[in-house]
Amino acid sequence: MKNSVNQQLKFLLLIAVLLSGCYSSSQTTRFDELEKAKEKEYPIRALTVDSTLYTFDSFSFTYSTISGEGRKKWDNSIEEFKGTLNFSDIVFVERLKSNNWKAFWIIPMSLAVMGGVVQLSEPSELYIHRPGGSCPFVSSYNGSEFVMEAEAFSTAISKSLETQTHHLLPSLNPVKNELKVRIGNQRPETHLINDVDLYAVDAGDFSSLVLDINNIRSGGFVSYNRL
Amino acid sequence: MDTSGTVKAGEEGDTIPLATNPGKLSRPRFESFHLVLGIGGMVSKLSELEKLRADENNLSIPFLVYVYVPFLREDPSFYFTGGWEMAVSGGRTSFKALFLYQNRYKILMGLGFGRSWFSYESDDLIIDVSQSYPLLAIGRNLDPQRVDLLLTVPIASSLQTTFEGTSYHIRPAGIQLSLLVSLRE
Repeated sequence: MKNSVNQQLKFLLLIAVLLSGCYSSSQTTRFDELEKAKEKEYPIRALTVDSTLYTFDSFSFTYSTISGEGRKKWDNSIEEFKGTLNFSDIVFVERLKSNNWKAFWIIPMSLAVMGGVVQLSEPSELYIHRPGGSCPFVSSYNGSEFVMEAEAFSTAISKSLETQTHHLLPSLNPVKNELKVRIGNQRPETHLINDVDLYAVDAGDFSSLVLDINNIRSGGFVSYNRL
Repeated sequence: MDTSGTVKAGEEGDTIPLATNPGKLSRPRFESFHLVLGIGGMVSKLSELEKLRADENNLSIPFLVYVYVPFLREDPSFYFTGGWEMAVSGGRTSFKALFLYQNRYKILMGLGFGRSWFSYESDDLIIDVSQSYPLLAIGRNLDPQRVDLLLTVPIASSLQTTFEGTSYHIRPAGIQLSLLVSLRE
């Protein structure tokens, strides 16, 4: 529902922007600027001392007056205008022209602002957590130190996601007829482990043990014993 | 000089003999919306994250891209300005929408709303914070219709959460002093 409202607001804004056009105004204080605007047929806006705003779509001028046709706006009223104004009654003159730069930024910026306004209604949040999919780590003792061999399983957040995995411990070496394997929970998470089994695999001196594509031991050519 | 009184470009008398401005009407009356760029300094409250070894300090330097929309273009003036801010250090973003009034003494004052985001991610920690808040704004127009200095004060309390047995109070929004430059022609 909210997305739908957002899209409608953006669409309406886009239409409003396109209909309004992309004009920029430049203050005009010199006759040569006025002459240039006349040559290029730019509209002229003039503000008189009584706060009336005149827009000339076409105009001519002398040293003391400007004449032309356009619109006259004061308070909330607008009416067609054709006549002459004295420069001595005008406070500002500006020429309007289409602005490609404004046309370039106005639509994406308007959409960005509209998106931000919509975001203001979202509730505040503070969320701190650890990345998921970690632990427990399985390490084996090689005679001098523990070496991490595997990450036993990833996220299994419900009973239906229980899983069984197998891992090789190539660094595991016996010390005084003892094998030391450590299963460590490195991060402050809770894990439920049903059982842990350690298998010894008989393999030839020049063979390599691998796990198959289903992450279980390849038992077709080796034998193994549960310890 | 043309005796008919018609002026040709380049002739003498180049400056148009306009009236003085007794009502102090200003040029913004004619202007439409335009872009505003700026840079600021914001003091937020993130230092408690040091307990999590998230090395974040309270000071950030955001770059601002605002849009300016005038409602009352005379002097005094009333306008909307707002847009997005992104801090140099990354992970900190804000959006602000302000309605500002500028009086004849070029003092700016206004109200608005803002929302700030802060995100942090490392190998073993993810922090996401976002907060919406009302804003008070006060400032000064330094150069007519060109450069503004603006102080925004969020009316927001800290957000609180407990993580791994430790309580954290964090406020991504903060007092901000900004220098704004209008890209008007």
